[in-house]
Amino acid sequence: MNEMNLPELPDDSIRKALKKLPPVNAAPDFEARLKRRLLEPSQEGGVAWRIFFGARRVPAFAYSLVALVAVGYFSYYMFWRTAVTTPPAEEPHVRTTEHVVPPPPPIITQGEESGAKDKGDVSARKANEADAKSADQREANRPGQNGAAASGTGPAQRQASGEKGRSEATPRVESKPSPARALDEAGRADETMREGSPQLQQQQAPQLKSEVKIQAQEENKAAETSPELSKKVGRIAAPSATTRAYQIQTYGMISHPPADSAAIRDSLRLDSLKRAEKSRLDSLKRAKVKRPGGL
Amino acid sequence: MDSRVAQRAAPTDEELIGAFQRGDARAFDALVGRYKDQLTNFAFRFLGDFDEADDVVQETFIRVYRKGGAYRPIARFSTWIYTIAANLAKTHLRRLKRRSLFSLNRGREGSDEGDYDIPDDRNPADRQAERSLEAAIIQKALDSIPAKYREVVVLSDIQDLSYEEICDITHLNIGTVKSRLNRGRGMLKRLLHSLR
Repeated sequence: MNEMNLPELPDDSIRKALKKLPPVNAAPDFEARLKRRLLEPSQEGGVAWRIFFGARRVPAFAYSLVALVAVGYFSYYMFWRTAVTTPPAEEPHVRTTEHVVPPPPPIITQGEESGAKDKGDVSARKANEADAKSADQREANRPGQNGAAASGTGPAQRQASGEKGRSEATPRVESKPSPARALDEAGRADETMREGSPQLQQQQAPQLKSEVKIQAQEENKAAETSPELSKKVGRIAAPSATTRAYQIQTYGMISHPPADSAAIRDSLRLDSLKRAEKSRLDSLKRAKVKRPGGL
Repeated sequence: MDSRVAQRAAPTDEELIGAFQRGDARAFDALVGRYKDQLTNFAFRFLGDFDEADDVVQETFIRVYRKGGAYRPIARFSTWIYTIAANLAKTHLRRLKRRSLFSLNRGREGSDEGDYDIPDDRNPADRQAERSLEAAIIQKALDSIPAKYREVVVLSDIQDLSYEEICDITHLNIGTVKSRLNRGRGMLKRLLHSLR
């Protein structure tokens, strides 16, 4: 059959030699062994399982496992790990001298801060209004002052009085936290003062002085009444009265940290809270005083 | 009349597999009787090892028994069963090559280093096949040529199959078959010349 298809080849001897090969027959017990194997239960599933999880697959599985672990490790550090948190801004290092004692840091709990925030906003608004009113009253009561000027510069005056109230409250508030905050606050007060007109500054300068004096007197009175408070008041009131001088004195000793917006925001919030608290207390005192007079 | 009787007495392969598909177990036995020697010869010449060849043929018939329902009479049964045997033989050959890396007595690729024979009295067919020196030399030369050429040479020159059947079994086109056949014969000629 094949003879017809094959072309004439030069290696015909090879074909003849191959055809001469003796045929190899199957073993005599071939059919018996075949029947025995056919009667055995099929193990194809088990064979497939063994082929897949055989010993020769161990290196492949090991490489896969190592690759999987590497990918997991890499992805964990690349995508899932949280960003490195920056350390909190440290308080400025103040070189203590004989006459400069760093005040203790204020203790503010989380609940107090969050609770005071809502209250503080309302009370701060009220405090600003009360400050403005009291400033107007003082302006009106002050002898030798021009009433028209006081009434003519209503909003500006109110703003100035608000700033004044802030600058009034600043020494008391800033005396407790670090001097750096005091510096910031003072700088802010200076800026607002600079922003205002020179006339306003001239008008407010004696007013500020008088306010500071009044505050110092009040604190000294309180210190006189209780000898235990005298030391504390001395410590607190002295810088509050001479905050500017204190700041100038200690300016060179303070290493300025980089500007931290969060810290500034916190300090502003604290300032507003404390001012609001103070103004609330003042208004309560005034109300108590006014009631008998009104009746 | 005699030819009709003969056709009834000797059914074709396709009729036998059809009968087996309908559940006739004797048809399968008849197919085994027809093809066991042919397939053993092919597998032995292709693999060069009688035990491996026997295992391949057994596995071939097991496949036919278990998946006989998959046969469709679009091709000849001989082509189908040779295809199964050739594929299994190639698989066994790959396994043998892998094993020969660690074996001491399988210096197949023409190198005689570390090649020694372990006496085996179990296979009289093996001894019968290698009875003559010439047959042994030819078998050694066949084992030395690459499998893709050996397969075509064995199917054509030893099993005496046509080009069309070889094309169906190996899934190659006729040009490739002829080319491989020529190259395989050329390699064998050079090897036999050097061996003699």
